[in-house]
Amino acid sequence: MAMSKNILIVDDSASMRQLVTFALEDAGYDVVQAVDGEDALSKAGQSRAEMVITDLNMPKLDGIGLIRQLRERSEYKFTPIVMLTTESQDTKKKEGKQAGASGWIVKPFTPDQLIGVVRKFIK
Amino acid sequence: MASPLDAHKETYREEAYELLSELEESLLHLEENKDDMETVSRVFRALHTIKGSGSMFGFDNIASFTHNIENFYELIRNGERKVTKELIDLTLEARDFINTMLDASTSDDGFYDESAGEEILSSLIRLMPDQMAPDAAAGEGGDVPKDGDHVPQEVTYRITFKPDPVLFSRGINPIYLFDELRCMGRHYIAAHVSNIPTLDELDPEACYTSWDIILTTAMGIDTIRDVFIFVEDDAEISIDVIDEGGMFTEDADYKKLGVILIERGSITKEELESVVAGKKRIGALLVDSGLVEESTVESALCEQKLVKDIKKTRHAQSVASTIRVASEKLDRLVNLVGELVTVQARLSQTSLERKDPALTGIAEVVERLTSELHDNTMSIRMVPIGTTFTKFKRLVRDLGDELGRSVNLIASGGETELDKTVIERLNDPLVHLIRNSMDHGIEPPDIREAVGKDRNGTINIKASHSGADVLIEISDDGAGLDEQAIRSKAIEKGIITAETDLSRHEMHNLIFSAGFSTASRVTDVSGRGVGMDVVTRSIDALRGVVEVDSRKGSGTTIRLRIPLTLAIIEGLLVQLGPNSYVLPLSSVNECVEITAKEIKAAHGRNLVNVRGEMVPYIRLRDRFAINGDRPEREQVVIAVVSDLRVGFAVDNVIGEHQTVIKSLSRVYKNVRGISGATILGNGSVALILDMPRIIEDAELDERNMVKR
Amino acid sequence: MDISVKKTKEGAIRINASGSLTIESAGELHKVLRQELENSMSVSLDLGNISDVDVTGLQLLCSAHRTARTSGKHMSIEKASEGLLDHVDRSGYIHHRGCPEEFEPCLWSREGK
Repeated sequence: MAMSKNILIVDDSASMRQLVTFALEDAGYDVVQAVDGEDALSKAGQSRAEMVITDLNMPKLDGIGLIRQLRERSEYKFTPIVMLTTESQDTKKKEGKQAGASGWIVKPFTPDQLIGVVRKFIK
Repeated sequence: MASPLDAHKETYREEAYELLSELEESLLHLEENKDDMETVSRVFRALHTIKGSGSMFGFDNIASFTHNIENFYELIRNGERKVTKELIDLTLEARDFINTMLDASTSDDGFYDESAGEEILSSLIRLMPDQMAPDAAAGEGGDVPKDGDHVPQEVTYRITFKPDPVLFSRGINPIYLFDELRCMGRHYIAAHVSNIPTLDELDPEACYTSWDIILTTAMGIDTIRDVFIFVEDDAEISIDVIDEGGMFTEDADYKKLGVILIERGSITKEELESVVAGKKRIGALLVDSGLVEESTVESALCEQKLVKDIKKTRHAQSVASTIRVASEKLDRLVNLVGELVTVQARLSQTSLERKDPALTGIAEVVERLTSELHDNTMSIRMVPIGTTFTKFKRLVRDLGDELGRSVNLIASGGETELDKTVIERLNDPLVHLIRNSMDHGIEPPDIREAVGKDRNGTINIKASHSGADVLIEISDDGAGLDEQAIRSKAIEKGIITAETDLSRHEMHNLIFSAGFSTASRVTDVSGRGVGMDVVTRSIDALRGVVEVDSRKGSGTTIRLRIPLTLAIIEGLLVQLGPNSYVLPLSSVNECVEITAKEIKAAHGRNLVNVRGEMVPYIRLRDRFAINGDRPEREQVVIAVVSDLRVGFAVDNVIGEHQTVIKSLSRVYKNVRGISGATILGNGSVALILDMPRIIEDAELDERNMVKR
Repeated sequence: MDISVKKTKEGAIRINASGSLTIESAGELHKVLRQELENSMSVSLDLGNISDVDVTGLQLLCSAHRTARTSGKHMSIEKASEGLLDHVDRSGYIHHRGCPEEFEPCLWSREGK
C-alpha cells in the first residue's frame, strides 16, 4: 500500500533514537519514538506499529519485558520485533528470542545494516 | 554545513555528559548503599549506553574503555562480585576519564593522556584478580557478518528450508527472505505444500509449508546463511553447493535423478537400487513404489533441469567469448550488408510503384530484417575504446620521462563502444593530441609550482555517447593557448591578415590550420613539422568534428565528435535540378519552405525567417553551379553544424534514406563539400554533402567578397 | 479484513473477502470457510480486493481446496487481486510441489488466468 509503514523505536539513549529515526525516515518509514519500555507500551497502544525496534537495557521496563508484554497483546502477537544488542549480550539475544523477538541488530551498525534488517521483516 | 553525522555526534556528546553526571550520582549513592541492586543496574545502564552509542558515533576510544568498566559491573549485577569502596573510587576515576575523552573530542588537537585510562583498568583488574583481562576493543563485534570466502564465479546452491510450525508467530514472513535471495541471482523457489491439512485440522497461524530453493549466485555461502540468520533456530535449513562454476565438466548429464535424491536424503542407496532393477523412468518408479513423494521427485527433477540450463548458458558463454574472426571477414560482411541495404531500398521503392499488396508485404519484411541485420552487423564491429586508453597511460608515462614532466592520465568512459575501424583510425590523432598537450600544454614542474599549480599535470581523456556520435574529450590543466602568439604566428604564416577580426573560438581553431605550429622550439615529441592539421584531416576522414576550448593559464580542452560508424548513415535525400544529394540526417533539424516573394523581401540576403529567428542559408544551386531556373518554391533544410543553425536551400526534399557510403575515387579526392556517394533505390548515384565544409567555404567566399 | 457471504439461487456460496489476508486475519476466514464448506456444496471466493497476503493466507486457501475435494465439493477462486497473485509467485506457491493427485486440478495451477 502507498501508506508508509509505522515503526516504533524504543531506546533510552536520545542519540541512538535520533540516528535510528534518521535512517528509517530516510528509507521512507514513519517513526514513533519511545524512551523506555513503559513509554513504548503506551505509544504502541496509541497507534499500531508495523514493526518495533527496541534497546534491551532501559530503565522502568527493559527490552525483554517489553517484548513479553507486547506479545501478549493481540495486535502485537505477530508484529516483527527487533532487539538492539551489543556483542556482549549473547545470552540476552537468547532470552529475547524466547520472549518473542523476531531478530536483532548488533551495535554498532550502519544505517544500511539497519535497513537491511528491517527489510527482512517489512516492505 | 554540518553533516548529519556531526549533528548525531553532538547529540551523543550532550547525552554522554548527562549520563556521566547521572553515573556520578548513582556511584555516590551506591557507596552508601552497597547492596542496592537497583542502583547497580542504573550504573550498568549508564555505562552500557555510553558504550553502545559511543561505538555508533565513532567514539571508539570511549566505547572500548567503557566496555571494560561495564564488564565489571555485569559481574556485580549477576551477583558474582560485591561492591567495595575501592571499586567505587576506581569507577569514579573512570567516569572522570570518560569525561576527559569527551572533552578531548571537541578540542582542537583531540589530545588526552591515554595512560591514565590504562592505569584505571589495570587497578580494576588487580581489584578483581581472577577476572578476565579487558577485551581488546568493543567495536570488534563477533557477530558482524563476514564474507571471507569471496566466490568470483557463480555457484548454484540448493537451499532447503523447513520451518517449524511456530515460524510465523515470531513476526517472520519468509517472503521477505526469498526477496532477499531473489536479489542475489537466478533462482527457483518451490513451495512444498503436501503437509497442509484440511480445514478441520488446520491451525491458521502455523506453518505447514517448506521450501526448496535453487539459487545461482556469485555471493558466498555466508551471505546466503545471513539471510536466514533470524530463523535458523526455528527451521531446518541446509545449503548445499550443487554446481560449482567451471569445476563441473566431467559428467555431461549432471547427476542422475537417483543421485540427487540420495544426496538429499530422500531415499537410501539400497532403496534406489532395488527400484532401478525395474528399469522404468526412475521418478515414476520411485513414486509408484511409494518410496518418495511425488513432490520430492518433482523438485529433484527441477534441480536437474536448472543445473542443465545453467550449464547450457555457461557453455554458450564460453563459446561466445572465444570466437575470433579476422577483421577482413567483418569488413566483407559490412560491405555485403551495405549492398543489401541498397537493394532493399530498391525493392521498397519498386513495391511502392507497383502498388501490389503482396509485394509490399514482402518488401516490408525484407526492410525489417535488413534493418535488424544491419544493427547486428554493426554491433559486431563495436569495440570498447578502453584498450586504446590503456595504451595512452604508458605513452604518457614514457613521454613524461622524456620531457621531464610528471603527468597523470585519467581515462574515463573506456566502456564506450565505437566501430573497430573508427577506433583504429582514431589512434593517431589521439596520440598526437596527447603529445601536444604534454609538450605545449602542461608546463614543466618548476613553472607549475611557481604559478601555484600542482607539480604534476593532469590530462583527462573521456569518451561518452552523444546521440549517434561519440564524444571524446582531451583536457589538460596546462598553460592554455596563447591567443596573442597564435595570432602573430597565423599572420606570419599568411593564414590570416593583420586586419582579420576573429572571435576567440575562431582564433583557437587556427591551430588546426595546415602548417601551423606555435612551439618556438622543435622537440622530439610534437612539432615534427606536422601540426595539428593532421588531426583535423584524420577526424574529417571519419566525418568527425574537432573543437578546441582553452583558457590561458588554466588549460585546454579538445573535443572530438565522431560518428559511431562509417559505413552506413541515416540521410536526408534532397533534389537539385536533375540530381539527388544526401545530407547526414543527424545534423538536420527541420525543413521550411521559402517562396520567391520572401526572397525578394529579404533584399537579396540569404536569410530565412524560422519562427521569428533569422537563419542564414546557403543556396546549393549556386554552390554547385547547377543550370536552369530555380523553382517558385524552394525548400530550406535547417541543420545544426558546430552549434550554428544554417539552412541549405534545395529544390525539393525527397525523404529519409538509409545511406550506404561509397567513397569517391581518387580523382575526386580534392572536391570540397562532398564526402562520398551512395546508390539510390533506382540505381542512380547521389552525392553525400559535407555540410561543415560547405559552410566553411561559404563563409570564406563572403569574407573575400566583403574585402573586395 | 471484511468478509461477506452470499448465497445464490442455486444454493452456491459466494464469499467476498477484502483487506488483508495475513496471519492476523487468517483465523477469521478459516472459520467462515470451514462453516460454509460444511453446509454447502459449492463455495467460490472473490479475492479481488485483498491488499496484503502472507503464507498463512495461501495455506488457508490450499487447505480449503483440499477440504472441498475430499468431501466431493467445489471450491474455487473467482477473482484474485494483483497482490495475491504476486504473493503466489514470490512465495514459490506457483511452483508448488506435493499437491496430491486427487486434488488436481490444483488451485494454484489455475491461478494464471
